Amino acid sequence: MAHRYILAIDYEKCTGCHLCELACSIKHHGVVNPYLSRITIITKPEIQASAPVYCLQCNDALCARACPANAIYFDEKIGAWLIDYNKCIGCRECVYACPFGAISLTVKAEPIKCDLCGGDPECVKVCPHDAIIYGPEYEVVRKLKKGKAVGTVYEVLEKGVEVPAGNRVKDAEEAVKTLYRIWEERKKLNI
Amino acid sequence: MTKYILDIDVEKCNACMRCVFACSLARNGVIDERQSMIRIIVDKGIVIDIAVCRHCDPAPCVNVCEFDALRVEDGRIILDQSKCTTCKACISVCPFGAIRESYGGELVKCDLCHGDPACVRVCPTGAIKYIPAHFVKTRRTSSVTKTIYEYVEKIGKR
Repeated sequence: MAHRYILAIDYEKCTGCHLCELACSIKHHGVVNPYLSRITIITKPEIQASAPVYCLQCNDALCARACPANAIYFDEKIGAWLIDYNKCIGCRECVYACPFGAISLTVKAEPIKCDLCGGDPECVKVCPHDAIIYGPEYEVVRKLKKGKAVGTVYEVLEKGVEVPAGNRVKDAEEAVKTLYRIWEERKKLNI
Repeated sequence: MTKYILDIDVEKCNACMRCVFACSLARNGVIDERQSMIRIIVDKGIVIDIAVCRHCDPAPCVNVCEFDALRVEDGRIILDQSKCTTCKACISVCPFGAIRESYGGELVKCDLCHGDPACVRVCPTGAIKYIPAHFVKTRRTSSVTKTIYEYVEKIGKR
């Protein structure tokens, strides 16, 4: 079996800039609206913490189990649970079934969930601190572990954990360029 | 147009049955559990579901109705009693058991009290809310992230 590609987020690197939300909504809907995003970053400025909420593509997905119309299916090629909108009846059972709140609703009460952009996630490209990682499962797990270990070592040496080794920091211009590129691609699709 | 939905949080429900009685009171003028459009399903002392019409889109009941008795109006699915022949095709196709037969033999279903649901007004714990559809995510995600915040507060600021 080929290695499954997964999306993971290093919580310690996330600064809560919400760029991934914008990239996601532009990619899927062509508008800049965080409500239409598949990924949500919830920030709490008082304690300087941000918690990204995203679809974990569970092995035994509760959303697929709860669906009365069997509209949610697993795509082996992409490695993601997708919603078949021809079968979906819009009953919102999947929204309540998900333990993470990863499925959200549009203003017309259609469920939307992460489809990994068909195997090429835009949120990964736009993230300025490389907090979002996408790759084969073994590689992603290794990266997350490495990040933790490096953070601990820095803490021990009292050098701070803000910038662990190997953390590439994109500048704002690069992130904005990525957003513009998705915007342009979106226009070409003409939907 | 923004669709308003009944947002149900089963975890908050303590099965006080106020919504059930309010529904039958608002529709029929009597307090009767069996004439209510909303049902609280309790199993071994735990609330497992609040069975009420989800106002699906596209709804199976609307598609299956041969006589156009069920229609979508303003995001709500409304049953037209004059066209209904009580063939019960909608009852068999509904995954939630939201349409039921009344004492008189006619079919009844939730019409969201034409935009001001009685069940929402009486709910003391906020388990039922009538909110725009895209606000649902906020509540779900906040319950999950609470644990992360607690952890961060415990270990201190980074």
